[in-house]
Amino acid sequence: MSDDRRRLFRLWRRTAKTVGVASGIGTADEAALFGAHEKALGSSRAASDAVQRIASTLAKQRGAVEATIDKSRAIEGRANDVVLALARLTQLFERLGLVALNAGLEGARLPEQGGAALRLVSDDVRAHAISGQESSRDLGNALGELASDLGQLLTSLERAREASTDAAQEAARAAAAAADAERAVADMGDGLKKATGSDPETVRAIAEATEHARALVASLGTLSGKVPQAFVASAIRPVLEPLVRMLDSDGDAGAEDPPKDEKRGTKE
Amino acid sequence: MGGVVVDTDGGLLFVPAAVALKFVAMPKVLAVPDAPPGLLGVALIDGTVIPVVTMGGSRDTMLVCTYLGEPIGIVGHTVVASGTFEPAHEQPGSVRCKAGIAKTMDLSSVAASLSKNAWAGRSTGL
Repeated sequence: MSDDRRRLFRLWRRTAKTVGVASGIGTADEAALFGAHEKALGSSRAASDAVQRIASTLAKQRGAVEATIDKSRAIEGRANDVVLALARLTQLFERLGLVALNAGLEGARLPEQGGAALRLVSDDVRAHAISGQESSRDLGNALGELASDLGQLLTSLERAREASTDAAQEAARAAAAAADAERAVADMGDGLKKATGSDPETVRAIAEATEHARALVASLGTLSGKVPQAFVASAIRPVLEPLVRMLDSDGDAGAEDPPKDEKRGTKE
Repeated sequence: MGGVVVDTDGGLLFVPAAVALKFVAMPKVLAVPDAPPGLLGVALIDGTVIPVVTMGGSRDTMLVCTYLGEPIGIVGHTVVASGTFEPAHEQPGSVRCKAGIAKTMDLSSVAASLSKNAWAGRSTGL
């Protein structure tokens, strides 16, 4: 018989003997513990991955907010430049109006016929200058309001950037905590292995084998009384022969290896 | 009659072309301590310090006039029109314009009131 099979049956027999008495933990409980550990490990890894994704998204968001802030500042600067230019334009129209007035005054000083043309031009130019002045003033006011709105937008974006920074810091703290939790769960797994003297795969296999054995016993129970016992025994003996020999050979030795000469006698 | 019509707090005024020299943008006016109420201060125009008299609240432009050969600045007005205007026969010394009837500005009385107020309240102490 192979060493692996011997070890498996020793573990199974030890569990069957000590259930609920010596350690207070049976195979089913061990399987449940290892299952819970696996779930916890999986969840902590998933949490760690999720936090990293959140941090990455927050970093992208912060980058987008920074770019928007820079663009908004540039637009605000250009809007202010245009407002200043419009103020200069308004002043120029005012000066043009004054020139037109003075031209009209000179026209008034000239004789009637000579000054008429000058007065006409003066009135025309002054009308256009006043119109231009009003238009540039309106444009300046509108752009001033736009610059003011941009200023408020910048304030909101600055607040969003601060919130992003805070969120990124929290995400970093959460990532560190998730990493710590993952390590702690992994350490817990090592502790479980030491405490049970087993590993999750083995415990799971033993729990499955135990369930199968229970099912076999239950099936045999349903057959009793319906089918002669000898018939049942003759049907299943060939299948269970190795198991019976194994139980007989290990039963006397307990959890330890039998002496070497017995090992030779129980070869398959 | 050639000149310019302005609107002041006291109503429409006509300034003849012989008196009105030119319009300039509102300059910096330096206040003079103990100045009479109508005198806003003095301003530098074309290298000459001229007195500036106010006739209202507006400070858009200044009309530089001449009185007894000396320049004087007038502020506190809004320009209505410049050119030639028909005399208003119903009010002697007035002209008719699109905005209404404008009295001719009497710079001599303006100057006289400034002089009177300048000396008011002063005592020789004799």
